[in-house]
Parts: sequence; C-alpha cells; structure tokens
Amino acid sequence: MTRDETWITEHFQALVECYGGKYIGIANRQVVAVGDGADEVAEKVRDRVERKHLHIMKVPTEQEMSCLL
Amino acid sequence: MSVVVYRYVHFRGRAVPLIPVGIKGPSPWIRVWAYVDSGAAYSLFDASVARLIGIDWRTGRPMTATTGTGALLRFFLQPVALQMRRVRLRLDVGFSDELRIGFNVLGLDVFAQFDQVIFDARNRCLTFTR
Repeated sequence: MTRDETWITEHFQALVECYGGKYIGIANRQVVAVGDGADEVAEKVRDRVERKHLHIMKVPTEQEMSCLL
Repeated sequence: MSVVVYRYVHFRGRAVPLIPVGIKGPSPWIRVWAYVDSGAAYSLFDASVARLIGIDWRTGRPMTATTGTGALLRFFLQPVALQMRRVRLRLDVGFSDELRIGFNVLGLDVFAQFDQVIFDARNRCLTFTR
C-alpha cells in the first residue's frame, strides 16, 4: 500500500464525518480538494498535484454507510 | 499468477471493502476509490468520473438495472482500462448520473476477470487472484 492508501484506510471514518456526500481529492496524506464531482476535484488541484499522485473518492454519507447491507 | 491484495477500510468497527483502482479512457489514468460489491452485476461509476477520463458516457450502450431499493437505475456501458495494483484489465463498465449510493462500485464484471476473489473477514483484506 502507498502511504496515501494507508492514510485513507486509517482515516475513512473521519472522512465520512467531515465530507460525506462530497467528492474529495487526497494527496500527501491530506485532503487537497472538495467538490461535487470527480472532474471538479481534479480541476481544483490540477496545478498543485500530479494526476498520478491524486486519489479521488466519492465519500458516502453517514446514512449511506448505515444503510449498507 | 498475479495476486492483488487490498486492506479493508473501517467505519465504526465495520470492515468496508473500499479500494483504489486506476481507470483510464481517452484521457490519462486517474485513481478513484470504489466499493467492491459481489451483489452488483456491473461496475458503475459516476458520470463525473467519465468526464474526467474523457468519455462521452451517454454514447455508450444503454442499460437499466434495479437497485436494492427497487428503483430503476439507467446507465451506459463504455470501454475503459482498469488497473488494480499491477494487474491491468480492459472491460466495459457503466456510467450514470443517477447513482444514489455513496460509492462508485466494482461488480461481478471485474470479478470475472480473476480466477478467485476472497473477502477475508478474519484478516480484513480482499484478495484477487488470476
């Protein structure tokens, strides 16, 4: 696992609590952009983060997490 | 033989099979996280992912599926490349602007590219073998 993958895995619950319902971009173990779509997130960090280093996640809401079968 | 292993993420003590995958269309690779769902026949991604990888998603083959709530979900199949660690796959996945679940989804179409997929609850990891 990359360091960013490990960070996301360890902080997933906090990400849901803070960003549920949004798309987020993650790089260098921090959230670098928030938006309503994957394309919007990538555009926001285009000049700061290389595309190959960016993780994009559609973050579920707490309600969506509790509804998972 | 290729073995791809992912750790589960966790939410309030529950293990969640959410994993990063590379996805590529005409535009370069991007890494998105997707929920691995053995109950989904197709892999489904939000329309915004299609736009990001340069796919005109509405030109794909139209499909309809019934969701867990009984609602109909319309999506369009488009060819993409997926990368899971060092394993690269080519397949048609669905894109939709009607996803009302909190995740992009990897379904049985991805499973079919592997010989074995193990949801390992004891070790809290997912293993794909081909």
